[in-house]
Amino acid sequence: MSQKHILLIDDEEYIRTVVKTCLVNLGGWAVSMAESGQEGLLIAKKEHPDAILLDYMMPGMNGIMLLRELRKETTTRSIPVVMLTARVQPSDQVEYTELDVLGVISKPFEPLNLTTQVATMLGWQS
Amino acid sequence: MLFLDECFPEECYEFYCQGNPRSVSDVFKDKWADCLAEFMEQVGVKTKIVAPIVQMDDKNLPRVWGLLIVHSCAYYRQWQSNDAELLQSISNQLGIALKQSDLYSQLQTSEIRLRNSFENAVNGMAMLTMNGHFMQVNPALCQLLGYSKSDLLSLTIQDLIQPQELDRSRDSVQDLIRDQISSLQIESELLHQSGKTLWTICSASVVRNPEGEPLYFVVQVVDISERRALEQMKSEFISSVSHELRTPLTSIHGSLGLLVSGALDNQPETLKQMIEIAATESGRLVRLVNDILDLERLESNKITLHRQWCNAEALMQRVVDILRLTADDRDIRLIMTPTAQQVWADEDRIIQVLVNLVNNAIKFSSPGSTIELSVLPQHDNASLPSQSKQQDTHEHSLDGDSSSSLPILFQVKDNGKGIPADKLDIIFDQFQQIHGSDSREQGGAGLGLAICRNIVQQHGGNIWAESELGQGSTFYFTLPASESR
Repeated sequence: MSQKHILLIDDEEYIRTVVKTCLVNLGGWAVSMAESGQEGLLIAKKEHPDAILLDYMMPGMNGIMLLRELRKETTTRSIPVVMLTARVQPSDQVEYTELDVLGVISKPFEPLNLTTQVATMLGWQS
Repeated sequence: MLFLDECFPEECYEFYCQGNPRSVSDVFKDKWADCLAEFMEQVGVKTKIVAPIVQMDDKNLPRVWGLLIVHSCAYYRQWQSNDAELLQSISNQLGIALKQSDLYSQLQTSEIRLRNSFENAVNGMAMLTMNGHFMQVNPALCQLLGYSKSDLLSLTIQDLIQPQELDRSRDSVQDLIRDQISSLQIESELLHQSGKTLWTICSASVVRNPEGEPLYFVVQVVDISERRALEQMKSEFISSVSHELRTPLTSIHGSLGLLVSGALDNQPETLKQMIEIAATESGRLVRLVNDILDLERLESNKITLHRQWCNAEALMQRVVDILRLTADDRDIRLIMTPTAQQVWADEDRIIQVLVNLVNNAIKFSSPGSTIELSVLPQHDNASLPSQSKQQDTHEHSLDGDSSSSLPILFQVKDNGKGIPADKLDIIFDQFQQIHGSDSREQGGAGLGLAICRNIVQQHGGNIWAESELGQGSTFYFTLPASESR
């Protein structure tokens, strides 16, 4: 099985660094990163990652706006998405479900379980 | 009152109490009224009939209210028994009329009392027909909704409630009408005459006739818009705080977790990076918590200003000293205009304001640029564009003061990236950041300017900003020149 490729979108530099370290070191995955919704959309279209790990609250295009854009485009429509966010209110959950989000991991997350959680949500069990 | 003297012996009173008339065939031989003999002689009375006016008292016992008496003076008239009966029946009618008039005046008193309670109630009160038409409204309700009494009386409650709210409460109103519930409380937005909406609690009950049929609604309306606004602010504050706390906490928790696991033991570079992240972000958390506490204390007026005369130049010099290293790191020059101006202020707090403003200026300036601090008496700045805002300050800060002392105007001017015009007002609100992520990278939690505004306002001054995108921003604040209260 080829190496999995994940796109991580979060506006917080330190969170990106920590999450990337988890995904690379504990999951053995390849990780691309974007610091905004706009940048994330471009990378998603260009690189077609196996999955996206997405923050909600970002200035400019937030996570939900990005998801809507992704779901519009045929090339990005079926990319599986897992949210990594502090927004886990019931009203948020409804939005996530409507936009085919496969799972939600709340911040602060458990670094040692992160890859297992993401893999389970994506059905990547080895 | 009882007549217990010889003029009105008890047995006589008892006799009258039972509603008996009495014919006296010779007033000079009346065993129950010897004392009246002299009076009778003077007036020339010879015979009389007496018919008592009897009423029931509060305990439903008879009492003699008065006597109706017919005197015969011309001669010794022999009264017939039907004379006495006629007089007694007149007395009885009188008794009833008097009782009615008593009851009527009691009713009037109680009606006035009830009306006064209604008219002077603090809460809005109304009676509504079963169709929702206003039948009676009190002044508090008129004031609350901005209508005159006559206007309100031409409306229905349905005119004042949003359709979706009406739908929401329809079932419970039906339950109330059917007597399945005895009262109803709805938190509801009512339409004010101005077209704005007003958050209220409406409590309603139904008045019924003895057969249990509903007659009308009694409704009380309490204005809770202030409470709602506070709740809204509180919940926004909590959600912002929780986001601002979670962000550094996520990095700290994640990096420490990785460090402890040993997963990075053979990657010294990454390991060092994780330690740095944990350290930086815990610093950010400390600043955030300090700012929140500071702001809370300022907003609840728990901080007393220690005002004294201070030299404005010395204040600015302190700020420049504190921030020189930070500025040098980014190759930014801090300059200040010399001045002999004195200000009446809490030195530490004004330094805190200036440090915040200069720190922001440093964050958003590019290397090689300059930040200028200056202070001026405000009349030197008549050409400034923000006159309207400064006029507020004039009124406020010169309150009760002699006109010789003008407010002092501080300026912090940078050549940074500038602030969009639509953000100039909201940047002083809590948790408002214009440049989103990059101000977070700088470690700001979005409370600095809210703290500045609070400190300046507590001094009786005003704070505002002017900016041009790409050209830079200038932050201004005024301080009253002297000890004005």
